[in-house]
Amino acid sequence: MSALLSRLLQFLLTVWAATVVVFALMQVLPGNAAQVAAGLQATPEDVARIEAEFGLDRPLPVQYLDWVGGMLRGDFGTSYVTHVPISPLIADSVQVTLILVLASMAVALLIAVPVGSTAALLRGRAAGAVLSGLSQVGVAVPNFLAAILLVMVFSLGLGWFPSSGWQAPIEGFGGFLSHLVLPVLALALVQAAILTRYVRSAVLEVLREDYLRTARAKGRTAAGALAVHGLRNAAIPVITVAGVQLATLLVGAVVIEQVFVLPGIGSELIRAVQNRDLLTVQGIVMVLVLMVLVLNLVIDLLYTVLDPRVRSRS
Amino acid sequence: MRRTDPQAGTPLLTVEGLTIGTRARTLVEPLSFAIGAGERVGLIGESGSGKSLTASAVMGLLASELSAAGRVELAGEGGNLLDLDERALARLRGRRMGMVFQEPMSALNPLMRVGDQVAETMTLHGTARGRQATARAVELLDQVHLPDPAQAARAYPHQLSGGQRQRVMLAAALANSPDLLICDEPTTALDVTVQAAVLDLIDEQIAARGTGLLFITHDLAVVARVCERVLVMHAGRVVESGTVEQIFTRPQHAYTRGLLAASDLTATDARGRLFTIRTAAEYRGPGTPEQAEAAPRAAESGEAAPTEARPSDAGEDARPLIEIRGLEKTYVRRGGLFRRHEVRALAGIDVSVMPGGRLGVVGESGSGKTTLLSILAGLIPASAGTVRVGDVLVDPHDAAGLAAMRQDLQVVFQDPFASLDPRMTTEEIVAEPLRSLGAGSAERRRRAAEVVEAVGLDRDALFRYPHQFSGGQRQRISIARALICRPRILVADEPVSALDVSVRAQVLNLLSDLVDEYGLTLVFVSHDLGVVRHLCDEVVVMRGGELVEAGTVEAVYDRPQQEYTRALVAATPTLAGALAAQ
Amino acid sequence: MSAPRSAVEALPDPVAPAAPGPASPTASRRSRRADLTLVTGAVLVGLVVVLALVSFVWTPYDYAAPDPAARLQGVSAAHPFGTDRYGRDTLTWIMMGARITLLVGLIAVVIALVVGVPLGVLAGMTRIRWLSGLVMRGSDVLLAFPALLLAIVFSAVFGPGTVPAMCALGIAAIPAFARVARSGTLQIMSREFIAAARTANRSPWAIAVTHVLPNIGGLVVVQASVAFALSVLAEAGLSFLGLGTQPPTPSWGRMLQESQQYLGTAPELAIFPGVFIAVAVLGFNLLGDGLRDRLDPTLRGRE
Repeated sequence: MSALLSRLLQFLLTVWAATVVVFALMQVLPGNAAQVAAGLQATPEDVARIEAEFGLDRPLPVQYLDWVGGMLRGDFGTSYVTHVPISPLIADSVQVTLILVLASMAVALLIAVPVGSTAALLRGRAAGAVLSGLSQVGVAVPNFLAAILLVMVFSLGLGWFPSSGWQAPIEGFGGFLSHLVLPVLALALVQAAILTRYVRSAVLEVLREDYLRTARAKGRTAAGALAVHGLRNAAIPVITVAGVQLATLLVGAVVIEQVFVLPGIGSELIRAVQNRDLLTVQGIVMVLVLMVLVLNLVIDLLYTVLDPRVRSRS
Repeated sequence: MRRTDPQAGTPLLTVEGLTIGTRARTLVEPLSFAIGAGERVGLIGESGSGKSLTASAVMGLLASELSAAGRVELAGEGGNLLDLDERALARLRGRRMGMVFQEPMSALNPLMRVGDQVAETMTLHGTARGRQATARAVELLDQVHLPDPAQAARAYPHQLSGGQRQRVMLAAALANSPDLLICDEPTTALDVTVQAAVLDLIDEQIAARGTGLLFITHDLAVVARVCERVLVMHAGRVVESGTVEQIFTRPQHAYTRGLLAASDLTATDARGRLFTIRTAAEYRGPGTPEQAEAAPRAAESGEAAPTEARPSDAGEDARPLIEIRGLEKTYVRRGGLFRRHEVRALAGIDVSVMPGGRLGVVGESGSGKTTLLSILAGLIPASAGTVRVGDVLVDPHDAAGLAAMRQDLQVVFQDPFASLDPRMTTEEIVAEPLRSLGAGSAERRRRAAEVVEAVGLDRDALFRYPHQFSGGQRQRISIARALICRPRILVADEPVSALDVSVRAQVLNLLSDLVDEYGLTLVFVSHDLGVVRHLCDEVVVMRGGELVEAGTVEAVYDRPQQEYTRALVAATPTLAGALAAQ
Repeated sequence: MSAPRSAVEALPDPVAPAAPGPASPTASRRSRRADLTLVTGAVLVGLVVVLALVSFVWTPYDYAAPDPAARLQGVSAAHPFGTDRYGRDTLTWIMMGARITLLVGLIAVVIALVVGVPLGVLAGMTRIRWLSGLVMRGSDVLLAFPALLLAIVFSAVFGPGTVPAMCALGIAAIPAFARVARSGTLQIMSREFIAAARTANRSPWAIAVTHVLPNIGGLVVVQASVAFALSVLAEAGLSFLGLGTQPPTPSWGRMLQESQQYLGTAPELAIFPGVFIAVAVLGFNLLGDGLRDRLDPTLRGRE
């Protein structure tokens, strides 16, 4: 219980440190946010007006507290550039991104677990080497390249799926799915290659464990011992990695949303960066970082649940 | 003989012409033996002799890159077990043959409750199901004398001690009352008192079931205690076999005699040195009591050494070279956020060693002996009390004092594989203590060459890397490093516990010679009472961070005052003792 | 500090070498496979390096000079990889792009290594709890910023460009190096030869230089190779988003981005830069794997 509390406290401290880092990064800017927002032709009066309007003339600690306090209430402020409140924009776009990321992870795991286990069991044979080699190549393919290739083949070539765009589920579930297939595949295929390698090594690791031999000595076949005793042990590191990789997918989604013109949080981030809309960038980055940290927390807690050794150390 | 004649009727297990090897190399040469119903057969040999491979082959558990040929037959099963497929073998394992492995820490599934792992043996073979299997598992855990078996059944392996886990392994292996139990070094990783209890348990359980036993070990005393018949393996061959009595009193093969002589720490040759494989011809067999007494111990043999000054010889006013007073060590464990609890590793330790004395520190794991050594060497700070070495009060924060102390005191570590930096040559390793003394490279080279020769290694050893040496050679390098700056005190932390018996004798002889030659004061930490008895003249017994008993070796071993010391001495397997019990 | 920390630290090594079998043939087969991996990786990396080096003395065409007559020409003898919408030669751009790819990777790895390794060794060797705690918690915070995200933030703050990209990718890779160095150091520090060095009265500084660094060197080299691959990927992604290397400097990621309009008509514009990004990443990954097997001291000891 106390370990749980201490992990939570550590999480909160890390989140706090992250807010400081994000806020500080935005202040290093040569010139200030109001200047950027007002544009190159702005007069000092214009800048002063924007500063006053958004409270940028206040001391930095006050601005920081104001920003953090707002976020705690779910208010990310109003963009200096577009004069639009940022929170609804984040709330809408983050849903698209989450759908994309979670679907990709599910598909990636569906591919990686069987392929990785097979590669481990076939180690030393040609088929195992081929599977390992394929995953090695897959890891080297950037997701946007995978996206482009998928569009070339399945959209421009075969015409099976649209090459870009988004349809919300309420506008028609079939359209929703067909718009989702290529982006999900682009993220999932590369991710599957990465996870395959982890699954393979986790299974190989488990195959060397003494307790598999014990299980066989009790009367399990080699395959039975792996299925009953091995896979559960191998699952722990794989789940941990999958959690960490969700963070990678989150960032990968930023690129994929650009390729497929999806209204996700990545597209909003890139638009804000291009507009030099710093408060929006600040908010979106904070949301992404928070999601990464929450993921890490969840993995750690899950790990504690799955492994009795860690549980009793707590 | 405890059992009926094994020759009566067909044997339980027949192994004929068994060979094991990889595609390129034969690891076990054609090997034949048989085990009768209820018979107990020991398979002894040093590391790499092929004894564990033989056991794995019988169980059908060889690693996939190894293959076995020959015949293995189990009474009541037609045909050769080596021809069976995995499925058919699996039906035999756990039902007709059970196995207990060496490493209690890794042999159980960490994610599965202990009771379920015992019950698995039964549910797999359909001998019990569901609740009934669970209840049976608790019963079995009770039979192997786990305290509170119902509670233990719900525990995970990491919540049990090493000895308790071996009991669980035994319960799982015996759940279906198999005809044959194979034990592969089942007690090697355990403390002696735990080992004694587990051996008793194996004894009791197989006797109750009439189970045949194939017991694999490197420890001759253990095999003499448990088995009726012995096979001696060396380099993939059985060199000799016979009853325990035959093998241990009238060994025919030179290797058997060597092994026996080298593992008998009570026997020494004319020069008072332990027997090695090479000098074993003179060995007369594990001691009749007179012989044990007549044999001079190494500690008494060094009278010619000029600097030898035994405590009894020294005057009343002589000052101890090492003096430890009221030593305490507590570690702080932090659990979570606010909880911190203290773990006491040492409490109220008083020890002193006179110049030229040889002190043995014995204790089981967790006794605090390694902590004591680390504080003595200035590696970790004490929580209270003082340690004086020569004129220096040891304090890890006093760099100048430590530097002075470390010219006087050097350490030989336990693990021959971890105590040498794999990326350094022998010369660099051995000369390292000279570097902090500011010796030039020419001098370092000269003295490294000298000391390497002194520990019995060739000069070309200087330019090789640790992985090119055997365990015994590595310990020689370790000793050379400790001696290069001519210390007055040598502290040895279990320096022979990782070595094979034959190598152990050589390294102990070397240590003993060097202690005499250099006039060293020795502090020797070990879990092995026999080694300490051979090498030391005084001994302290530690348990749970406390000093249980101290005195001369004779007094403590022969007339122990404390219950724990008595138990420890009684639990230590000796050849003579085991043979007498047979 | 608390148990769950082990979750991330207990991550399996995706390419952890399998336990060497008891017999030598397995080991030698294994090491032959490791050599094959190493050689393949070295060849692929070498290809990219040669392309970059040659581009300094010779390129088929001038990368900056558009040739309106040769727009979107497809694969031909004159233009083996085709031309882009301005008639610029793709092979020339690939060669020039190799420079940026390697430069960004190199600078990022150097930043991460120079900062991360000393911090990791310090955290692994110090007995001052709060100091190692500070290093590790600091790296936790930094870990919350994936490389590409940090690079995007840098481009927002400092403006898009190669220099902010290199710095961001380097900074983002610091925690990985610090962690690898720390765990390697902890492992080495628990070995008895360190205790032996201490009883030989060696100073912490001498122990770090003579025992710790040589023994974790292999781990660091492997990590450098992996980090190089990750940086190449991230730089390509950043340039693809238009936030990395800016025109007119050629970069593979931006070539891919610009190819998107012509996917139907000139797929070679996407395929060639894509293949070269993959070749570079694959090369560095294989190099890392091969080196890992070669340098693993635990394997060396058993040979």
